[in-house]
Amino acid sequence: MINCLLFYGLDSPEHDVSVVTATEIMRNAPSRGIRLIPVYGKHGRWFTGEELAEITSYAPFDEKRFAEVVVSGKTLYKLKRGKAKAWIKADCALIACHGGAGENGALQGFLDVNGIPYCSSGVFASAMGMNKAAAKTLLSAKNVPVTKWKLIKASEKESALAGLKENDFPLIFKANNGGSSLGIAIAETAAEAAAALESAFKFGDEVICESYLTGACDLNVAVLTTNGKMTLSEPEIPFKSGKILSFADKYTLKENADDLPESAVSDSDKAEAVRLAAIVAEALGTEGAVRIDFLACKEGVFFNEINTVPGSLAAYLFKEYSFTDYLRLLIESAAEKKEAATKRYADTGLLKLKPKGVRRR
Amino acid sequence: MNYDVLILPGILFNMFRCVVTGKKDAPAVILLHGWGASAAAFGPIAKALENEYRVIAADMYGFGETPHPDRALTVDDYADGVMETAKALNVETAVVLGHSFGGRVAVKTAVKYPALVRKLILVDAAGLKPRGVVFKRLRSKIHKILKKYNDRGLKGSLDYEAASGYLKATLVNVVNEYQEAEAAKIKCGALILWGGRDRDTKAYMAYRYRRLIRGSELHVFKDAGHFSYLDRTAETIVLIKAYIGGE
Repeated sequence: MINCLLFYGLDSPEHDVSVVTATEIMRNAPSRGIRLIPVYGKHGRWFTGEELAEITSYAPFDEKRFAEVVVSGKTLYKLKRGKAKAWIKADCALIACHGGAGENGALQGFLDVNGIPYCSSGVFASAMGMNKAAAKTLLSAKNVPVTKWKLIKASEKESALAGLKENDFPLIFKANNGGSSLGIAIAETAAEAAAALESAFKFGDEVICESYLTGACDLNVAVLTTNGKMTLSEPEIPFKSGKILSFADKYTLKENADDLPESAVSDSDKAEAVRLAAIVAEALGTEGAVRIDFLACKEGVFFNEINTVPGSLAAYLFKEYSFTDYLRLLIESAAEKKEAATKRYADTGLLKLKPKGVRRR
Repeated sequence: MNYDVLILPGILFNMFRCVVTGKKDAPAVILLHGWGASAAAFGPIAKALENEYRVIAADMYGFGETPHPDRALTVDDYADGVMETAKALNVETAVVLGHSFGGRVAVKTAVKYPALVRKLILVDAAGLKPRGVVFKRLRSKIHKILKKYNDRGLKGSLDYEAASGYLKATLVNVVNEYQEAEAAKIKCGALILWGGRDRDTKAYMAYRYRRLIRGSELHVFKDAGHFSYLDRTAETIVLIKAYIGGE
């Protein structure tokens, strides 16, 4: 029996998306030989209970109805009147947090310290995935094409806007540390650039400004790495209602999904995206399921961003698995990491040395 | 995926017509619906389980597409029907879930055929003697007196008025059978799920079932009604999966 903790929620702009993904996971979770325990993060505290499977439990979230838990080592303790009672021993964890601490490596680090293996990317890949500028720097060194970009700090707002030239436009502004398309805007003129910059700063302290590829088509490839084996999905062209893929497009109902611009991307571009996806995943050392987003246009295929915890864990891109079987694969592969995750401790004998030659006065 | 959708004819083999989905060689789950319902009532539950289990949703005698035989039936006959159906599908052991009237049948089956019922799940199950029987006895006396004079007497329950022919007689047999003694004989334990606002089989029955069935666990969904599994579908699915998956 594998006890798997499902971590989700946490304070991030994408909290609601995380809840949707998690309830979806709970409903479809494999049950034979696997027990999935929801662990919902809210303002730095963790809660559990079967009722978390109901989406109505979150609006509003009444913490009195749920048991608070703490994680210490691999053991999950239930808190009751200020006393912790050992409840369950975790074999692995499944991370369904989007954005914020759950995706940028912080939660991953917490689990590493506790010795709980998890079925997604580690601290480094997660942190790189959340930091667009860092990812682009690393990947251009690996010859992965990226669009021209510039990082703008909050203090450099004015100078950056003044430095924009006529032929730089159109530009696209995004929060450097954000995900999920929130606060993204395109600017065609200097006036629009100022507004776009403002809206992007709402979602982070740094903003990345990139040249916008006119007529570019989004192309997503999911990479599944389990037990050291890498599987690449077919490239997918997400539906978008405007020039950019908005938050609403990604997570709300798509009514006219027939309008997909399938023909807009050539087969060679698709093959190129798959080739690059393997390089990106390799370079960052991703694990579990990640989704890598590319932009395809006349000039070629460019790396756009990587999601180390993609929506629905990118299950829909691997059509060969049912969601249940997909989750089973992820959970079982994480539970097998048991050995690798045990902390390495070398006994150097340093601590056993008795101080010699030190005289007491 | 290895899906197997099978619809069996009921009349020929003295069994229930069933909707069978899920993986063929996976452990079986038999779903027994409530009075007046049919296999279709378990839609979302069946869908959630069919990825890992062989889900058998039955239409019991007189409901859905299984006809009612030309005689009054008892809960025993329904339990036999479950066994016959399982035999025909080569199911040796199964998880049996019963909702409302299906709960009566499930309890009966668990006692009569303990080898078949590996695990038992009761959702807002009927079968226990309701409170207020004195009042009901008085009412039936009045009914009998009235019947002498106007040939019609008092009105029966909604289920009774809706039933016709032999199904009416079956209903009388069924509601007058109390299964406290049987519940105490169940050895496989049970997961008991109940709606806190259930008005047909009230929540006190849930607590009584928990006391009667050894090794049973109870979950009451506070704001749910008699169809608690439809009011709190996701939670029900999570609880059911945790209960039948852990072995």
